[in-house]
Amino acid sequence: MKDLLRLRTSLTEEIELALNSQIKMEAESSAIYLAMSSWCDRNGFDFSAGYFKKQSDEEREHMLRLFKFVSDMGGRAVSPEITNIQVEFESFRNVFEQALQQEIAVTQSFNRIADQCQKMKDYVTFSFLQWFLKEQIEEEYVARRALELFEVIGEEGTGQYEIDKRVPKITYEKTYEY
Amino acid sequence: MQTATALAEIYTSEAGAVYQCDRQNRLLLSYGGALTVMKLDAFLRLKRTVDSISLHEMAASTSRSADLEIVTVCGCERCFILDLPQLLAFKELLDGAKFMLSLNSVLHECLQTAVA
Repeated sequence: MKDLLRLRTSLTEEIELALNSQIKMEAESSAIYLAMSSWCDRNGFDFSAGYFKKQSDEEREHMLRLFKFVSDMGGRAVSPEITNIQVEFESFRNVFEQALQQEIAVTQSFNRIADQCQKMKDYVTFSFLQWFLKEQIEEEYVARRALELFEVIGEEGTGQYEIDKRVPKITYEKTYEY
Repeated sequence: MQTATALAEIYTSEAGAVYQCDRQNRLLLSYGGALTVMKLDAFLRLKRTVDSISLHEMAASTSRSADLEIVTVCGCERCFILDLPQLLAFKELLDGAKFMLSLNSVLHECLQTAVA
C-alpha cells in the first residue's frame, strides 16, 4: 500500500500548516508596516514613513521566502487573505511600540515552529528556519532602538522631528557572526 | 487492460469506511450509503473542517440552527449534513482513517530505514 501522506512531499501536514500560518503572519506584518508608513506620511513623519515602507517590503520578502520553501518542498503554499488592518494609531510613539510588539510576536512564532520541527524531527525545515531566527535578532534590535529614541531624545519641542530623522539611520552591527 | 481496482481498506467503523486506491492515489469514503472519491488534500481538509466544529457548543446551544452542521470542502463533491451523533461518528471515522494513514507512513519510514 502506497504511503499517500508522503507521496508528494516530505513536509508533514502539521509543519505545512505552521509554515502557511507564518506566511500569513509575514503578510500581515507587511500590511501593518505599510499602514504605519501611511500614518507617518499623513502626520508629517517623512523619514519614518520611508522606514516603515522599507520594513513592509522586507516582511513581504520574508513571506515569499517561506512561500517558495513550501512550494519547493512539494507542499501547498497558500496565498493568505489579509483583512482588518489597523489604519489609525494613537501617537507617533504608539506606532513604534506596536512595531516592536509585532517583531516579538514574529520571533515567538518562529521559535514555536522550530520547536515543532525538532519534535517532529523535520531537520530540513529546521535548518531552513535558521535564517529567520537570526534575522529576528536584527529585526527586534532595530525596532527596540527606534522605540528607545523616544526616551533618549524626548518628544518635547523638536524632539519628534529629531526622532523621525534618526529612525532610518538605525543600523545593526554584525560584529560577531552567529 | 486491468478492470478491477485494488482497494486497500484503511479504516472501518459502524458509520462507514475509508479505502485507498493505489492506482489513482485517491481515498474513497463510504458514508451514509454513498461513496465519495477524493484526493488526500481534500480528505485532510475535510478532517480539519470537521475537527474545527465545536461539538460542545453544538450540544449546549438551544438554537435550532445548531442541531445540524453542513460540511462542504473544496475538492470533495459531496455535501455532508450531519446532526450531533452523526458528526461524532463521522469524526471518529475520519480520525481513525487519518491515524491509519499516519501509521502506514511510519511503517514505510521504518522499513526504508531497515533496508538502508
